[in-house]
Amino acid sequence: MGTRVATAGVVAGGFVLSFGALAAGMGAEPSSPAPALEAPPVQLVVTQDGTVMVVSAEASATMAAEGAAVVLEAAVAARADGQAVVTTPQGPVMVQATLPPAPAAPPPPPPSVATAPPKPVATAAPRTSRGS
Amino acid sequence: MRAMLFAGLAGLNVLFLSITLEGFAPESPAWSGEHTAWYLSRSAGLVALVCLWVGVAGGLFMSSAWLDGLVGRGRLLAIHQSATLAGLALAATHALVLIPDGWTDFTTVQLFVPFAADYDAGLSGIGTLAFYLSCVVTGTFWIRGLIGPRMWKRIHYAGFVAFYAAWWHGFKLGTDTQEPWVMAIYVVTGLSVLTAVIVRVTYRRPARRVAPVSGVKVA
Repeated sequence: MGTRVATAGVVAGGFVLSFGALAAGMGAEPSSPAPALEAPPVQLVVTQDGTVMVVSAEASATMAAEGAAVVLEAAVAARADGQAVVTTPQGPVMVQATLPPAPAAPPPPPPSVATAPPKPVATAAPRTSRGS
Repeated sequence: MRAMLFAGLAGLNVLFLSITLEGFAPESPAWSGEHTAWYLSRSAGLVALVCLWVGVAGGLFMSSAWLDGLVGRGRLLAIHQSATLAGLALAATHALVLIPDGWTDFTTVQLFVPFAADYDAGLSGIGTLAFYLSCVVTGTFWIRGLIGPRMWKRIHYAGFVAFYAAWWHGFKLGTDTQEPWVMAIYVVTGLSVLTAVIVRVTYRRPARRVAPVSGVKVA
């Protein structure tokens, strides 16, 4: 009985001491699990002017159409093996590159009398008199 | 010699307590509502590992009779059982305090279903399995008569698996492993259980001296 009580006391004391030691040792910033528990879904969007941006999957759909703001800043670096590494404030993320659709060629204007090019009008060349 | 040892231990205690008291200061981040559960979980996990270590090592030394003459078998059994139960209680605390915690964002399902966690599913799952296995091994103490000593012994061997699974879970996933004193805990617990297993396998009990009995005829 005495041994069990002593063991319980040692365990309780160890718990209290370890709590205090952890709190003292970690300083102002508590250590936490990896900040990005689950990498947010992002997409790599290349805009018309060549800027590469990482945006959320939802935002990327509307971005091309409306020019929505970038929701996640990221640094893109090229590795020696040719892979691109995108690092966000939450850590490296897997990205899916989405190129904006190529601008479609404008449809031909409908034929219209108003916009029809004027027919060339034959003009008589000025006569020139030759001297005799 | 004894006085020097006593003075050394007392000095270590004072040093550790001074560090600890600094941790309990009101301005410590452990008391901010956001982080208290996270500190509780980490300290409970560490002490749970130490308790399981004491339980496993105590059981090994008890069965190998290596400490006979130094610590009585009854006392070792009491330490073995109470340390293991305390370890299980602290391991449960280690997980349960994370449920309402907003810092780590674990759900109940993620904590109790192995490999369901978003945060390092493999190592988190190993910790969950270690807890369940430890519960099974400990629980067989009360049904030993029902399952028989042979089956009880086989299940008891799984205690080593549970201990090292918990050890690996903490060592790889723990955010304090790089702290020197925490690393010391992992090194001491991991190597000493390995040593105790070797002792258990190789140590031969000294033959008991049987006093000659006179005047008794054996048929």
